[in-house]
Amino acid sequence: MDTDRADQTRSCEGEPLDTSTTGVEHRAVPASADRLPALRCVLADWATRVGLSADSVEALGLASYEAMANVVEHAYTDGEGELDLTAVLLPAENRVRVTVSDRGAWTTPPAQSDVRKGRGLPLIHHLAEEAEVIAVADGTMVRMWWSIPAAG
Amino acid sequence: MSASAHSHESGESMSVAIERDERTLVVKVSGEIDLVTSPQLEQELTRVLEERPEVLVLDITRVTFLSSAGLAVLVSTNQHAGERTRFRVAADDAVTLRPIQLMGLDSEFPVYPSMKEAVAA
Repeated sequence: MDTDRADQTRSCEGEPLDTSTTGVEHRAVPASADRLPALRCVLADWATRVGLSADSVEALGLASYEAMANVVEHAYTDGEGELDLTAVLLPAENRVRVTVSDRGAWTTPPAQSDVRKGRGLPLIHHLAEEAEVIAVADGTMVRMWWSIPAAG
Repeated sequence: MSASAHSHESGESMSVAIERDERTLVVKVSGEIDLVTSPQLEQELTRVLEERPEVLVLDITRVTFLSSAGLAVLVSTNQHAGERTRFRVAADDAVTLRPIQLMGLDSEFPVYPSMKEAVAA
């Protein structure tokens, strides 16, 4: 158990661990593959604290990673850009919502661009209880929801 | 496996060890298979396939994270293995088995709950 905890702290290094339960907010993060493990770690830590099941925490971590990986791989044709990651607790719905957005253009739909590699979006749709990919005015936004199991 | 294991660290978050006997080559991976580490894994698997083993077992039971970039490596390794090498995967928990099953990859190549079972199959 101690080593698990140590590993988690180490892989979150570089990203502040917010100890509140209200949410996670990381804006204008450079869209680079080496930034993603720490962001995933921060998300998983938060999701555990707000009471998601271990299964949902795994699903949330992987789905969010895939959404961010899509930004890294597809959003910015010139190779440089930023992503926004937010996670919020929705008390009225007893759910959490993770949003990953960019200000680029997915030049090719990731799901079809390469049959060999394009499993990111299908995975997101399988792992999230609800998921949507929206083209917004200045980019693309992926929103994903998971339920918090009732206490007791 | 009597052959000696060769192992090396590929970056900080993934490590690969290789064991071989006359007919079977086992690639044991631990750590995270993600966007950063999957090209290294693909390179390693492409290299060992050149040895033309009868059976190639990819043991990912000690992997703590498997993203779609890693799933793509599994699919391409299975394709490269072709008729010559039988490709098998050992995966046993939600972290590794779940994404494999969700994407239906367990119908493309056989998946076993342990390295021993994959080798003995």
